[in-house]
Amino acid sequence: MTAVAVVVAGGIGAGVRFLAGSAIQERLRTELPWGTAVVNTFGAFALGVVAGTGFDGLATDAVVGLLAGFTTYSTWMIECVHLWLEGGDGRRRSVVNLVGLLAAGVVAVALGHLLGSVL
Amino acid sequence: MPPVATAPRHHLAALVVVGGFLGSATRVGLTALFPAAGFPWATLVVNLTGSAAVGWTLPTLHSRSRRRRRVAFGAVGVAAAYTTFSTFTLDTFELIMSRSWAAVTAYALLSIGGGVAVASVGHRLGERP
Repeated sequence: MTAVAVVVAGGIGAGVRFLAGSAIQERLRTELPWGTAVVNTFGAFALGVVAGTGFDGLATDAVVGLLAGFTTYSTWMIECVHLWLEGGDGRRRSVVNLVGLLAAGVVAVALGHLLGSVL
Repeated sequence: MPPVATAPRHHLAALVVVGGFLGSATRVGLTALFPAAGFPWATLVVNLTGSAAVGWTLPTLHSRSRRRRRVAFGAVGVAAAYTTFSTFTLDTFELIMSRSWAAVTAYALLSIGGGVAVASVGHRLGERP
């Protein structure tokens, strides 16, 4: 039952990521993949809140599954590779994207955890 | 010039959701095979295999007809939902809070360095005709 809820929620999370990510990307039209960055940072923050509350049970598992499908590691990695392969300034953007999103994600999950623990 | 296949956004979103079910199911199944340990092996394996897979398959997904549909299903759906950034950051945070410095260093280096390495090797292999 838990596995089914996690899987269903993960698919929905993926759909929301696609819609939100492409909307962000179209609006900003920058050289950096902001769609993935915003989605992943928000997802890390939200998972931090959930973990901070210490809640468990089916609903919590579903939210964790939703956020796992919503966020993406593979897209982040391949976008870094694509930026690097552009050469020149793309290499700088690749490193910024790699280190920046790592830092943003860890800070976001920590802040979320802090918020969740006082809720 | 061949006709470019275009797809309405809600068609693509539906493909992403179906791909997302498959990616999530694979992740959940694979994670269950790993016993709970002090080190997040399951997330590491999922993120590295998913990064390699998307690097390897993306050139092919891009090169055929119905490009947008294929990428939506395979890369944005299956591979992206199979991997997870949120769990990666929570794992990292928990290792930091438990002051497992060796583990957090190994986890971050293997995830980031390994992820970039396997994605780029996959990309090279996938680009070959």
